[in-house]
Amino acid sequence: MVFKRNKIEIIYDILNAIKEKNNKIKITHILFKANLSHIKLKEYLKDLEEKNLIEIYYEKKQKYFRLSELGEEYRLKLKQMKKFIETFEI
Amino acid sequence: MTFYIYSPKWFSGIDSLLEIIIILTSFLISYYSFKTYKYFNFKKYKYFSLAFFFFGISFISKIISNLIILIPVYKQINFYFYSIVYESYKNFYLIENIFFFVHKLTLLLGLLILFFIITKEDKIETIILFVVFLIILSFLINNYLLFNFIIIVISLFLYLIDFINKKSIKKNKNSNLSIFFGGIFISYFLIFLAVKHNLFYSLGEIILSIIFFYMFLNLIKIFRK
Repeated sequence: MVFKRNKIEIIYDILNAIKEKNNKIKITHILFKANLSHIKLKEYLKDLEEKNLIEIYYEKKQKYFRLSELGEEYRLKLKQMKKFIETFEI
Repeated sequence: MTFYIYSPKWFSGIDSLLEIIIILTSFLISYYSFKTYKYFNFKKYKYFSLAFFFFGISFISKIISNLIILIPVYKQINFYFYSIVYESYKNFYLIENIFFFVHKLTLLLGLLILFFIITKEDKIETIILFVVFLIILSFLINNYLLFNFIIIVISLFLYLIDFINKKSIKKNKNSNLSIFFGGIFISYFLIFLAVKHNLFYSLGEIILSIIFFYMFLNLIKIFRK
């Protein structure tokens, strides 16, 4: 059975992917972890950057992503809500 | 005429204290469920929030209706050298009946909402029909035992539907929701047995508060950093 994720679930998966890689992740790794097409992922990353949830930085000419403070707070809130959903499975 | 079940004397007041745990837990679950709906936009969590909100209101009404029974109402008419004191229950029985009605209605509505969530019922006509039926039922039942019996049947039904649903999608069969329905069934079954001995009422109330306390502990685990 395939479950379609909604926008917030996808955002949580992206933020979590960044956190799991200790705030140093390339776009290809997010692509793999978040299970999205390249075009869709770029849209989401642009949206998250505009909302100051993620930051882009460069190291040795490589582009990396990390969570901002706001992004980390938001990720934690989403994590709690996800745990709530798992606890009260309806 | 309302049929009362009396708790043992030593348990008087303790049931209301235990119900405070139930009320707090219900409102907390309602709040976080609504927050979950706001974040993830899953409609079922909005209705889940409403169900637990109704549970909270139900037990507040139960506490008030229980306390009203215990209030002795004495009225005094003074004459020159003597006074007449008499007990006047008329208005208090009316208020007690109103709160008891609210307790029945909101508890049944809460369970009905959970029923619609787990059966994924979304036809508005069915929902309206059930709600109207419940309002009429709450109005007609004045017998606490009969009300208890209805809760036993509904909670058993909910437990079985939830169990079958979870089994069919190979999920954890004894989820927190199943435990919740099972717990309500057991506690109200024990309260029903209070006709045999009022100790069963205390056992039923204790188990009901344990179930809600268990839900409260799960909430603490989720939101503990």
